[in-house]
Amino acid sequence: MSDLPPDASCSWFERDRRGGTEPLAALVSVAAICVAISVYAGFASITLSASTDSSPDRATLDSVWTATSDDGIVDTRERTFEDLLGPAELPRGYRVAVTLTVVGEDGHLSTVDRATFGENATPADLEPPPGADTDDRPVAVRLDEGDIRPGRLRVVVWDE
Amino acid sequence: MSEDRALSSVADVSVALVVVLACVVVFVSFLDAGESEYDPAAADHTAETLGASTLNVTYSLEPVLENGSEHVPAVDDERAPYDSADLQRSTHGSTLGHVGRAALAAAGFPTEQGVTYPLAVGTGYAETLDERLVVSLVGSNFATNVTAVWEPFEGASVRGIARFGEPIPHDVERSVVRTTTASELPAAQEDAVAAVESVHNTTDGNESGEKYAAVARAVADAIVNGTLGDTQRELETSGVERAVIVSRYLRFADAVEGVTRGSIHEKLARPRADAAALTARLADGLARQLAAELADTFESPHEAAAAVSTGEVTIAVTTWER
Repeated sequence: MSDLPPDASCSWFERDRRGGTEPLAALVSVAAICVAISVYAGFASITLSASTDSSPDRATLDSVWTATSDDGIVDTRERTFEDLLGPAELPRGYRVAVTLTVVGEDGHLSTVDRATFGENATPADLEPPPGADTDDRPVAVRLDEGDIRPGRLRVVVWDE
Repeated sequence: MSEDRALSSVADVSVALVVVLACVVVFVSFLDAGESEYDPAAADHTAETLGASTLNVTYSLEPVLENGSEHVPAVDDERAPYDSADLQRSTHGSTLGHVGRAALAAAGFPTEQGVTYPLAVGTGYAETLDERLVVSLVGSNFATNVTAVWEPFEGASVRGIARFGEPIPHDVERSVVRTTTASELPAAQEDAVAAVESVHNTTDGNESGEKYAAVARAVADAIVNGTLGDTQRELETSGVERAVIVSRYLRFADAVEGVTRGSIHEKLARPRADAAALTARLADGLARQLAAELADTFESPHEAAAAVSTGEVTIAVTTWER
């Protein structure tokens, strides 16, 4: 008997003195933990999906900037956005509007080039809906030799 | 005996559950806060655009004319050989250069009568620049501030600051990019270091004082000659060029201790105009003024020479989420 573990050697009376949990409290705690995990999973899935799926505007802006700039200057005098952008630069399954503006002599923004693309990244005549995901960045825009204005490159991305 | 068992009460379990739920809420809210439209690279993009682009800025010289002087008739004075249209200026250059020029133009020289601005370029310059920059650089998701600072040496009382865009809030996360651009004045750091090295074995034993004076001389020469050097021809003409350069001499006379408008009056008169004598006198006065400040500011003349920055303007581009 001396080889048995202490638990095995104790009596029924001794085991009955161990700490326990009331059944109702245990059920409530298990239920609440399940609710907490569900809440976490719900929020996490929403947040994670929002950070990946709804940011094509920023990725598209980077891609458009890379495709249209040379030495940090955007020049669309000879090749417009419709010539420069296609499936390699634009996200599939989304509609995209790209706009390039500069400050004019009167101090207001004037559009240098604008193009919209359909879901297959080909030029299409579309109008972005209000509230669509938008991102933009300041850029230098070459209007002529020696005339490089500060301007903005703006990208709007939306789906149906 | 069952009453002797240790039981987790409903209250204990409830406390534990509250802790678990609180952890989940905190974690979820942290995840949610991490998602932002703000791009930390916006400051980089803005600085790149400032450096790569050019702007045309139009302004008027009329407000910088010292009409109170007999040498500079007011625009509406019948003796004036110019009108308002002659005082309009248009300048085309790098956007970063314009920002730097605005800082230099705002350089204030503290005097007993108040602060004077001998390097001012005219009204409308900074305002027009601000309008253009705000329209072109401010994004839909972030706000921008561009602040340019020119100072002849680090910590100088003479300094010019030009701010564009929105005031920077202190309670938001910000991205800052710092860059420099050449000011319109010559760089004097090398001259200052060389001047310090060239002072040896002074007769009166005040070697340190002479070294500070040598640094101050290099700085004063850069400021005065960089602004007023080679202006003999302008002083001898009679048109708007003379009015503008005489006004600048007069404002320098206000800014420099030991020099007054009356004391340079004779050498500003057209028949006897002497640009070399005027600039030498202004540079001497400014050098004396700066030597005392340099000695008070720096621990050694070498440190003072290394801190000379007449030739550059420091520009900070700050962006933050709206």
